[in-house]
Amino acid sequence: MKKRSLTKYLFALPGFCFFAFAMLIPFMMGIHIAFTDWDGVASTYTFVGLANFAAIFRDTRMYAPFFNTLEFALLGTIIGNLIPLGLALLVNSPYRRMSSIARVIFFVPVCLSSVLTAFLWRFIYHEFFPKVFGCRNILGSTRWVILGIVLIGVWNTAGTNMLIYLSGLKNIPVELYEAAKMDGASPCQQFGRITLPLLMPSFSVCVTLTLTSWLKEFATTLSATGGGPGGASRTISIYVFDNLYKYYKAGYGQAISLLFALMLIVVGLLVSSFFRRREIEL
Amino acid sequence: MKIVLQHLTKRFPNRNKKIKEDVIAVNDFDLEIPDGKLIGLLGPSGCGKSTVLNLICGLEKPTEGRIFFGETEVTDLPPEKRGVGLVFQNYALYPHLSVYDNIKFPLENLRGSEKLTKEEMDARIREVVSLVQIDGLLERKPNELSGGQQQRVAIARALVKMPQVLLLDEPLSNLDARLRIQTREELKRIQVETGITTIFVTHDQEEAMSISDTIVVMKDGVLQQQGEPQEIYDEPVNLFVASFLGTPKINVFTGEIKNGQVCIDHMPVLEANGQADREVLVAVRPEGFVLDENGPLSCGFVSREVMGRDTSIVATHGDFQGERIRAIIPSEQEVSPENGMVRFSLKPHKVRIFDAKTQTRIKL
Repeated sequence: MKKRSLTKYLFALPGFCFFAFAMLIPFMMGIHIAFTDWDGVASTYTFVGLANFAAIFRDTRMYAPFFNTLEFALLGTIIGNLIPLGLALLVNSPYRRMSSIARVIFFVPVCLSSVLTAFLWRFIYHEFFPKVFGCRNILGSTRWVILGIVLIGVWNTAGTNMLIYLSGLKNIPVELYEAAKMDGASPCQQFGRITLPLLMPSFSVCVTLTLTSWLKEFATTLSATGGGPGGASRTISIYVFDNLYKYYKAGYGQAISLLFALMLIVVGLLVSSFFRRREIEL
Repeated sequence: MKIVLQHLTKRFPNRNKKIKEDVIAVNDFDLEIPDGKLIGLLGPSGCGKSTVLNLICGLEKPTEGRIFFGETEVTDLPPEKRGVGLVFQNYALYPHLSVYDNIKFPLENLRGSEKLTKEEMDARIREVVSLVQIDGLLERKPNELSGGQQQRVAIARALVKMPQVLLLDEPLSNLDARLRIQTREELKRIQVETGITTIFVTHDQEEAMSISDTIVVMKDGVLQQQGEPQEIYDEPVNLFVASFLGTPKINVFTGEIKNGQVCIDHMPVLEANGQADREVLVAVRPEGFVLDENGPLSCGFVSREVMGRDTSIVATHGDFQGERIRAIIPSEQEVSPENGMVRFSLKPHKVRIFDAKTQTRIKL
């Protein structure tokens, strides 16, 4: 028994090595910066204890990125799961003549980098929509900019979630739907009472991943708007980035990112355990 | 509820898209099932028996033909409007719902005048639960139940809507040998207690024989024979039915009718008065052999298998179709092969003659 549990960890070792090399070690090595006044350039710095952390809670410039990030996370998680789930249902439906082609088409955007995607959509928002539909560029509106970016991000990443949902749907035995049909459940009831509960494993993965990834939102926003207009789409990650490289307050930036990372871990664990508890073995 | 199937045909497009021709699962199937009986739909796998079941319950629509329950036609009715309960081969219990909620599921979907109050639902559930005897299991989830318990839950779920027809797809195939015998008696009991017309699909002839009031034998989507178990065993209409029913299998020899006698290897084994000379197949039930020093059938002795109640003799013969003859004789009888040969005579009422070409029965 003991031997088996060891083997289990052995299998995780290669993955852990990569993770340690690329994430954990750099992260650890940077931790102490959060307790200094380093400006990001100079070769010297002094320790300031917890001053940076205390400053976060007094920093009024922090509010906007904080609430922007929440809005990103909320919109991104909702839209970024509803659309892929819809696509997966579409591709998995019994009328699936084109399903394998559709699957590929829906997945193509995943292959584009977020920077390229943002560039592409900036053009679409700026040139295409205003000229064709006569609407304003929503990336220029402080009210709608976040929704605009969320749509870009969802377009970019929907394919991955779609595949996870699709494999979840395929895991549900056909007999259960036949049984439900015999039991008089309408298609809507079948969806609500069979599909949704049995899709929990997919929800655990997709909701947790999209939520944390939108909380960390950085690249698409930076390439699409740079955080503008007037800071209306600036996220916590961009604020950290600005502190590190623009404001010469690397110590402070590091403190925010450390606190933020802890927060992400807690949120991620809470969300995934929320769904895990609702998972059922098929 | 009487069930009538008229010229039922079901074709499926071929899974191999290169082949344009459809697969015919059920072919011009005519059947009348009397009310309140337990019917075994028997056939080898892939013979279309599950498709017939799916057509009756409405999960599949027939390509041609009509289905009647009593006097009403149900061919185009959706499954939930037919008043049919279906027990799936793998039970298809909802894994996320407790046993109680699984059984409640069909009741919650009732609409209009059929809608039940909570108390009525509960009363109905308690009723079926005591019928299938799963009283203590209501709070459990399906994966906490044994195979036999899962099946009882599945039957309860199918019965709770008080259907007029109960369909069971291979109800015993997922159970171990001992449970199978217990469960089939249980099925019989439930059927008798409720009086619901019940059709169950099986490929196991023993299972079908043991509990059915009527057996329907199918092959390649075509109905072969319908009748009471003993009748089908004793009077099979063709060679397929004869060899499908009975273990050990019926022993088939090539032979001929000559001068009013059935001969195997030119030795007359049976009278066949008034029959024209022709090639035939002689099928002998294992219990139709009698050890007889002067018997006409001389076979190579291979071995003797003691089974306690009786003894099985394994033998060979040049005109035997298949590997080995199996003859069952009373255990107290001694077997004394001479020069490696045993001789048998045949019990006439255990021998069936079939036309060599059409394989249909020739009644003597």
